[in-house]
Amino acid sequence: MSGTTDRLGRSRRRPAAASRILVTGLTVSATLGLLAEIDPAPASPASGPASTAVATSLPAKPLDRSAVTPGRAAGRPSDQRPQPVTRSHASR
Amino acid sequence: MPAAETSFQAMGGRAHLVVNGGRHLLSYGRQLVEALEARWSRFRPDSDVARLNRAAGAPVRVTPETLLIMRLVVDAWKLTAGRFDPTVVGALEANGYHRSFAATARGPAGPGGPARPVPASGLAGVVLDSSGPTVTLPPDVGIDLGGIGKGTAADLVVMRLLAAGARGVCLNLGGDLRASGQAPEPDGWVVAIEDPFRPEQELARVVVADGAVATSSRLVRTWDLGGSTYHHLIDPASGLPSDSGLAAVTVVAGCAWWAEVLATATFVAGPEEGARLIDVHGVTGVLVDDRGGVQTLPGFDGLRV
Repeated sequence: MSGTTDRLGRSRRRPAAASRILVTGLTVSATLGLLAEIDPAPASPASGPASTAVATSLPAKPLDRSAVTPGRAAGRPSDQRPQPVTRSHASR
Repeated sequence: MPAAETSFQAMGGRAHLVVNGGRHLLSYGRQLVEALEARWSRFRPDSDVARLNRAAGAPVRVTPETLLIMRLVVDAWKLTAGRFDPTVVGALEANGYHRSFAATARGPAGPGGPARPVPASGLAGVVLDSSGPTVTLPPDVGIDLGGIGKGTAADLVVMRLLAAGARGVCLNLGGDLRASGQAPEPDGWVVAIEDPFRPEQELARVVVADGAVATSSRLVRTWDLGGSTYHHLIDPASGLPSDSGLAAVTVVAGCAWWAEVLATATFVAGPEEGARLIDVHGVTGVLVDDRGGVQTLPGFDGLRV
């Protein structure tokens, strides 16, 4: 274990096996080698209950900011900004 | 066809699902969220997570989705040098958080006396076997998938609904969200980031065509413990609520699971080390310190509106 002391003098131990940031630029596909078993979703409201099996892999995507695509409104003056669709906040 | 939306209770918080081009997919999206909650909630005795925690030390057959999230969990623990660690559940339970907030009127009831430090066990020794699939936790180790569960669910369900024909989807699970595909308006998916000290106000507004936003804060999910306020963001190293100088962290990343992981790890790391952590992983966000000071990180302004 490595360790430091926080502002209150409490011990802060770090697991030796994870004592440094290991890699950057890892993609999800590199970490996941699972099959994408996707059951059919309802094609219409009348098609009845669907399976609740979810994809068991995620599409390959970089973990850095290159995976974020800005929307067209980015950088627009605040007096012209569009209304939010939703809000991000801590889970209550 | 205009976007359709619905709101419902899920994963210990409020879910908000917006589907552009596929109103009939709203109920399907809700079913998927509820199915993942049934697999990942530590409060449901028959969930994969509850069975893993009871059987620590022995292999447990799990659903493919649970094997997937456990791979993400182990990666996240390594990538954040242990600052993200779901084995902090030991500290939470030792200090009263063994029932969901939804199941209690005023939050968890502490055991009395000062907070008990319970350093996290870490994830070394976790065995993931895709042939079962099975997961084996080391003896006496438990996990809580809380935030990463919400983020991963948002990613998976958004991808699933797009594959099912939606033009665009945004799924917000208790404040952690993923948006992808065509937004209802040409501007993109506009997301307000709540001011943690004044929840009725916005700290910032960002717009993404494809991305995720997650927020961690010590100002919510709190309860009284020995006359002090205990919160749920545990420093894995000390086993006590993190006192890093930060009140809230919001991260914008490509995937919601990763945004959630970095928000939590940054909160634990504190302002300076946390900003470096976000920078070294090439994402962006905004930090709010205990005095209300706001620090936007490089790249954040490029997403602002």
